[in-house]
Amino acid sequence: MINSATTTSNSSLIYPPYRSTLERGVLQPLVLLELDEQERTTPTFSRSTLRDNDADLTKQSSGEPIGERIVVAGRVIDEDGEPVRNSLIEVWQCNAAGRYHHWRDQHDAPLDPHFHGLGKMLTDDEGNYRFVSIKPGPYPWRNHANAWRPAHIHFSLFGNVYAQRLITQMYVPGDPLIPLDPIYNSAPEGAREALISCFDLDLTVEGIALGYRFDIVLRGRGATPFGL
Amino acid sequence: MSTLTPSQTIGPFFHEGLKWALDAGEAKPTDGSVRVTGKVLDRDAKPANDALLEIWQPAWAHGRFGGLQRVFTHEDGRFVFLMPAPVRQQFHANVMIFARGLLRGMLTRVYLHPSDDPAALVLPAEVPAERRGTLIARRIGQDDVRKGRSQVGDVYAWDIRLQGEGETVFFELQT
Repeated sequence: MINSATTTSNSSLIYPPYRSTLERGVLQPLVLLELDEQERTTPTFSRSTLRDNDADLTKQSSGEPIGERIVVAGRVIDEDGEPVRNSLIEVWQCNAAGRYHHWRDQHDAPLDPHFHGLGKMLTDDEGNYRFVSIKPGPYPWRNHANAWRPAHIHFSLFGNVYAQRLITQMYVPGDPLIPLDPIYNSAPEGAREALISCFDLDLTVEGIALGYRFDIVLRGRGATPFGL
Repeated sequence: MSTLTPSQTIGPFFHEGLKWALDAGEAKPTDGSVRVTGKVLDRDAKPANDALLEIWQPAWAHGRFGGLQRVFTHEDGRFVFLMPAPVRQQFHANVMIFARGLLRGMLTRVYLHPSDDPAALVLPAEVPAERRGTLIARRIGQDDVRKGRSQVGDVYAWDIRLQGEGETVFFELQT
């Protein structure tokens, strides 16, 4: 929403039902900024930064993690539908019991010694990505009385230009906690629905894992540079 | 035309997943670099001990991944990253902040004024005059860690105020 030539409204940065936004959400208008040509690129990550099993979160330990195996796959495109190629995606999530492998998570649910919930991958030449994981569990948080987060997976994307940097969360279809969740609802109506993945029988691995499709659209038009 | 995938908060549990790409926190300052340190502060000037900062300086080869430094705030809310020493020229870094309570990555910039002429600093014209100071790091001295060694680097102070008095200028990128 444009207020003037050089500032934009930021009323969307505070969403009172998500309490932390009250203390941290920026109040002043954002200032429009034009980057120079070099700054319009984005940090680059080569395939050599990836390790074996970075994209299979069920194979990062000596044993089998507990829970329901899932395949998550999709395509990353820009606003014009052009693929966002060879671009880094990082994912992190809690385990099937709703506990993160993280020192700050004090939820009274078991850690799984065979599941850390951390992955990374690069999109291919068509913008596609795919990883294998365990369906994350819901967990309580202190935002309000009897607050529970729906099952979700955190995604971090760099895109092909700096303006495409995005951190978001993917949800699992059919989760009854989704409409109750202030974080899900903090995204605008009409757009937040895109955060819910779709069950996709074609992505399932017969006898092994169910499949979910999560396509991602990054801002920018005709922005994907050639040669990437 | 497709709907843009909306942003969601990074939440408080990102460290394990993102720490593989930490850079400046462990990187050693080198000749020609300075440290920039400060705190991320909320509405009540309370430090945020769970923020991620990504510093993006594509023109400076020091950062890995094509000029990216990724740092976390510590328990006291403090961060440290590296910038090139502003010898007779100004430098800036793009800084994107993610944290619990931030619905999206917030982009700001930090500027180091030229060592020989602090008044010569140029900022984007769109930044309101009374808020320019929120983007400028102040030189506060030399790096204790390296005193007594062959090289001594400067330290600059720069706090990021997310909301309230002295709120830092944040940017929206033109595309």
